[in-house]
Amino acid sequence: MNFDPFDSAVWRSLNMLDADEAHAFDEAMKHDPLLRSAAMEMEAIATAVAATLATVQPVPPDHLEHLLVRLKLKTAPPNHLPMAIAGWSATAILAILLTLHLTGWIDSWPSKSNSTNQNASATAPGISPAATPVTAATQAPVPENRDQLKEIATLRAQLERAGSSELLESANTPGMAMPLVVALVPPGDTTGDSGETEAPGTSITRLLGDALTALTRSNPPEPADATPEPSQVAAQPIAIPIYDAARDLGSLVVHDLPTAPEGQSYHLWVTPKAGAPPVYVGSLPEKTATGSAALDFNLGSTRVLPTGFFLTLDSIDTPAPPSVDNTVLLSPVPSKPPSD
Amino acid sequence: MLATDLNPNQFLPSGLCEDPAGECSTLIRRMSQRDAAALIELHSRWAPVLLGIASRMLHGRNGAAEAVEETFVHLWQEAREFPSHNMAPLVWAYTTLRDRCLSRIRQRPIRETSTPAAISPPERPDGPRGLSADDRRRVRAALDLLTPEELHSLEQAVFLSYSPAHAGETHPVAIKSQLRQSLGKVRTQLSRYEL
Repeated sequence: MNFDPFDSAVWRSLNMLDADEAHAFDEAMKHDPLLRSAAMEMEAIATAVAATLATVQPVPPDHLEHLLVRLKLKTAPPNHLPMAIAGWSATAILAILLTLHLTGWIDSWPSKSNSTNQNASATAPGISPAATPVTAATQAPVPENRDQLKEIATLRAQLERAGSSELLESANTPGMAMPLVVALVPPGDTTGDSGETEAPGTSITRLLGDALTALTRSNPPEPADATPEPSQVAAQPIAIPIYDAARDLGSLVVHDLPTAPEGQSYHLWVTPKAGAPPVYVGSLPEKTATGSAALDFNLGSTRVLPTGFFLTLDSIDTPAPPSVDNTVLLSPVPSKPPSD
Repeated sequence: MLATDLNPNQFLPSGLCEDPAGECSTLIRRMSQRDAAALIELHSRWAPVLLGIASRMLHGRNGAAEAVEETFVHLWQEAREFPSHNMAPLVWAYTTLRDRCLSRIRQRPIRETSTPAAISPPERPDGPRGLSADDRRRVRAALDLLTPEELHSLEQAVFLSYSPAHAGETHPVAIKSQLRQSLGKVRTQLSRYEL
């Protein structure tokens, strides 16, 4: 510390003393009124200089509220954001898993054990987690799969309890996100499954069951001669729109989509309500090297729950509304109207 | 010729940051009685300028809002002890904020003593500063007497750019001499203003 106490008052007010020097100064100040007066004077000058030179900043809107909550002078408002984030995260994971499952990528994962749990089949609909128990002979899934399994099972249970009518209500509740997830199908396969009529609200649970099955299944290596050549299996295009009506945020994920011819591209149309004409939402990039792409979209209102999605292949500049001539994929048409 | 002796007996007090109407002191007294409205009022008066000071000290808004919040928490919790500090309300808030910012700086890795990054958002010219308009004029007049180098070094020091982040770090003698001279000039001018 500087021998001159008044100089020390300067350094103390400007915080240029190390911890030991500052402590010694503070102790000396207690017994020396002149030193204390000098220190107070320097502090006032430093304060005034700082307040004059600093740029006044706009205070964040929630700063005061956060302070009051921290001091327990106000109760914290309920936070729906984690639920919304969890819903979106789970849906995004499901969409990715479903895409990977449908493309067979998950099937190529190395077998974890000689599991006898081979009754799970991707073609059998309505498989619930209880039908494919993880037996003792099956190795436990890796940690990331366990988290995914939990999320899928939770979301599936919620959807099974909710039913389609609750989905409609929840989708427009502020702060709550119940994203609409639809697997588009080719025209003619309007039920979403080969020749099988589905009850309303079960198509999504079926998708969840398939994704769950893909994670819990442990397939033994198939005989080489039974494995179809990739060229012999026509890649089915996959298009899954995911839409959160509560926040008017949507995303269309496509995979294995044939490259659009020159001058054409894929367009997304949406019917905002039953019986309404389709509304143009957006177009996919003109060329996608791998046939995979994503399109973010919104409908301009948080009070719209689409009743149908259409993916058309048409002119880039003047796409026509969906018709039998240009529609490539569309959302399954329910065989029965949803019960109220 | 300006004297640079800092002996308080030869200079009138600057009277800066005083609370002549006692408004802020009253608010702090009400805070000591757990009056939340007083805290809200004080927050509206001081938060913008304290946030600006913290942003300069921490070289950005990252952490500045938290430092200001911690300051108000301390003011609320120690409001009963305020009279014993024998300092102006704004000085008390400033020293509290400075300690919070110093703690954050000490927790950061060693940084180069280069020119700090520019602080952004634009100033609100009519925003509350905690200082009276007269005090600001006086300080501006005093700072205008400094050379650019003196003003720069004083500014760096006030906003903790010269603070020892680690034990044993020392500052060049030239910087200390310059600071002593610049602060002496400011104090002299402020004291003369009183006359």
